Amino acid sequence: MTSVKYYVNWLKEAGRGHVTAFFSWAGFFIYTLSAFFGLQTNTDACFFGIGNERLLYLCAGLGVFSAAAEFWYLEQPVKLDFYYSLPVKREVIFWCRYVHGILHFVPALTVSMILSGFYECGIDTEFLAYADVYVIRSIFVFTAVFFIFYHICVFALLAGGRIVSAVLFFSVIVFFSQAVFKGIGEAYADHFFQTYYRIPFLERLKEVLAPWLLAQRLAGAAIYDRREALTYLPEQADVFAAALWIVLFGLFIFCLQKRRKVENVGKLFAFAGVERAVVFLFSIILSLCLGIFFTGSAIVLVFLVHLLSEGLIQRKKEALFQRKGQLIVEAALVCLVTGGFLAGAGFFDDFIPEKEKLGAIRICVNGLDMSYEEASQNLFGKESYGVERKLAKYKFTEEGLAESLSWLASLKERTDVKPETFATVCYQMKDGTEKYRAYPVDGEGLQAFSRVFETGEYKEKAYPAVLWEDVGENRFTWIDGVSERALKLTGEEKEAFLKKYKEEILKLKMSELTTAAPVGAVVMSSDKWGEKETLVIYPFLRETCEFLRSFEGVKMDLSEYDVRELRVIDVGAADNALSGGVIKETYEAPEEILKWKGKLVWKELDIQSLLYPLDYEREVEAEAVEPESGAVTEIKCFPEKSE
Amino acid sequence: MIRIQDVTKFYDEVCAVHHVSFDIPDGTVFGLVGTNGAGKSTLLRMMAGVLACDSGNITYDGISSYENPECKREVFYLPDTPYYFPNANLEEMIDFYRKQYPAMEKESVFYMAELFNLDMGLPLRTFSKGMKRQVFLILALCAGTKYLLCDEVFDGLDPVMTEAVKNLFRKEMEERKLTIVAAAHKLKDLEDICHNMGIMHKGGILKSGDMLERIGDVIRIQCVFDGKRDMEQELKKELSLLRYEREGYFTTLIVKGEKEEVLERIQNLNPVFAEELPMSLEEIFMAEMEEAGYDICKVLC
Repeated sequence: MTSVKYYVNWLKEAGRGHVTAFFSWAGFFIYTLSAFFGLQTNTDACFFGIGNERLLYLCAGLGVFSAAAEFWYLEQPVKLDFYYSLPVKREVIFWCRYVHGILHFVPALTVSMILSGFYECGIDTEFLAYADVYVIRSIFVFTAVFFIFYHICVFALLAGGRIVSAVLFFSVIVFFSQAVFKGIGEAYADHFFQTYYRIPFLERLKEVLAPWLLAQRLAGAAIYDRREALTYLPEQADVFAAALWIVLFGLFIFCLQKRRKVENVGKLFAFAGVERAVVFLFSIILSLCLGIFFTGSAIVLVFLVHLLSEGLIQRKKEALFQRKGQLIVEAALVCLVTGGFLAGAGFFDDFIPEKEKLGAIRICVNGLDMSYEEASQNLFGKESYGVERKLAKYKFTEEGLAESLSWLASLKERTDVKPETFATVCYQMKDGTEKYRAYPVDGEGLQAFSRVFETGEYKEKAYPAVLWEDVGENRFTWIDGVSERALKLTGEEKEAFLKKYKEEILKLKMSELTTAAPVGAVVMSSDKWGEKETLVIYPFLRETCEFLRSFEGVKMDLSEYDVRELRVIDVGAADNALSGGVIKETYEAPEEILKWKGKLVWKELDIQSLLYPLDYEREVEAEAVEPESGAVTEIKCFPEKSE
Repeated sequence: MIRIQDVTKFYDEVCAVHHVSFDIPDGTVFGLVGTNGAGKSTLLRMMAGVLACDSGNITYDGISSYENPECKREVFYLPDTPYYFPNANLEEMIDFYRKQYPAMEKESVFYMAELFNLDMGLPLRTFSKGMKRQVFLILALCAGTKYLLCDEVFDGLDPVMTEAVKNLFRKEMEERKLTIVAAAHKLKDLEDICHNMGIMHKGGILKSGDMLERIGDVIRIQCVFDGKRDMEQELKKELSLLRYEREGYFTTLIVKGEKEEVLERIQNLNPVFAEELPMSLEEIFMAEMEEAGYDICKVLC
């Protein structure tokens, strides 16, 4: 009983400052009000729990703030003298403050979630089905986020003997994995592996070992779809990682608070072990950072960096190099990492999976079915949105997979490659793992890709219209940059048109794409399903073109319109002295405009920048009259390459 | 009784307290004197249970105080810069301390606060240094503990207030056998209330023991010898001479030994005049320290 009374008394004492209570309750009060307003405006776009990034910031922030407010005394010698001289065990003071910090967060979060849940139920009956699970999951998820940051911050305050070192520790813990796995891991992979594009394992490690990234994943911060948010359940690995963070740092806290000595307050490190760990990590990270540039001198680097870190951290210079064992371990670890990357380079670059173990393959050939603008932004071995989009689109599991595998094997056999482009590949293994590679592709290699291109699977991905059926009720619209004309077709005509298009697309050879640029496109849209698909029309799709030409108003070249003016902007024509200059020419005379007949391609139709490149150094702005409305339309084009 | 046994404390490589041992009997005032960095505050913080001893132990009536709330309930530690809660007034501090020290009497605090003319309602942060010191001395005396540890006890108090606090100490010691350990820079601050004293220097305790006993053993004698001859060598042969000072005709001696025997030996040297003078605590210490071979000025001056 005495003990219980003791704890209760100290719990009351912990609340003396009211800072934690004030900020927790005030924070959630404001948050709940803003959630109410948000829900009132739009329940589809506003999530009060999982999926709300503001709540994520609030919980993580309160984790840090509460820990700082409760345990600031650990860095204040006067307060420590006061508390520790009282007839109370120091662990009672510590744990009472620990509990006090939590006591003002969890109830405030719970009340906020429940009130918001009731409010949303009141204004949106659809939410009723998800309310209980969503509220409970949100409470758990955001409590976990709070605990992650609360524990890290308490640990940092315990480990550091000064506020500045505590802040430093906190920052290091929060950003450490990003520095190691994103910075060093990726830099090494990029440096040593010729075919490196991405290693998902490294990325996953970075995500689970970076508290903020982990918190974002736990809280579904990237979710924008309402249904997804309401049914969101964090991945098991993330939940496990969060639990590990909380428990591990909880254990650290438990151990450190018992051993923390008052006399170490004021020093940079409150524990000798922490100092060792900092020297160790600092030496290894800096050695690895520099190791990329001086691979062969890794051990010398470790020696120098260890000396530097000890010199920076240890106050007594005569203590330098006393930890020889630690120095040996550091050197061994750095050698292991650099040696591992060196030794693994061959294995990594020569990797071609066995077909039986491969579930799917994703390929993006830069420039193929890609505009020049997009292709020019993609760099070999570097992640980009364009490459990711294509990798998601071009996924092969059947004949495309077999052909892709054989094409990739042929690529690897090639020596003295003079790359024209590159291919980014994702091998999706049957065990669920993904392996990414990037390969340089020369002219012959590109031609060989036709085997993949001409598979039905590739066509389905590149021209999804071939999968469409029952299009009798769909709307067909011709677009060419100047006019947008609805095609008046009966249901049968639509079906017949699509059939012709499919046949020609399925017969399409990759080599044909090198002969001409598209002349226009037909947009097929379904009012019923709200789907839309663009059918790119090439001049060599003869039957399709003939069919379209039968419609009045479908023009397959800009010159068929009344072009009033052409402005040619030449960005590459200026000589060296005028680097960056632009030459602009304007043509208005009909005979001048006529010279450009059949040579201009609407920018939007530049979709084969690799196989049929246009003259990208020049841009033509054309003013053409839309025949139906009489309006003058300006379209941007690229001229075809001159012979 | 407080027993300090072979206590050592290191701050990294620096030894703040070096194998210190002594006892403090109940109901006495023990003065701890020494220069800055001598180790007084460290020893007091160890006694208060703030710091752990690297070796040795400190016990109160045979019980170790470190991380022992039951034992610490009998000990009140008053550091040189006491902590109070932001915006707290005396009444709030009483409420806080009463939870820690159940024997604390609120009425006594009120009475003493009134005696010292302290406003109970004002936040402590508005008080002067001396007033804050008064507040905490009142709290310390009214905590009802058996032991009181004070660091720089009279720091910031004016002479009148210092005397008043000393009287309060004496009263509490008479009434409930309060044991006080007081650390100070200057010996003079403590000499009129201390029964025992220890001088700390470079982490070690130079001397401790009952002052009254020591006074009985050491005497100061002022004498005049015929002529202007220097008697130092002769006196050294005859007496256990701790200090010899000569000014004009007057020779002042501090001598260890029985009073009658010492005076008899001096008489044998035919002085014109010889008389015993009263000794201050400081003089006894200085004499003892010099005898032990320490440069006392470094310790006390």
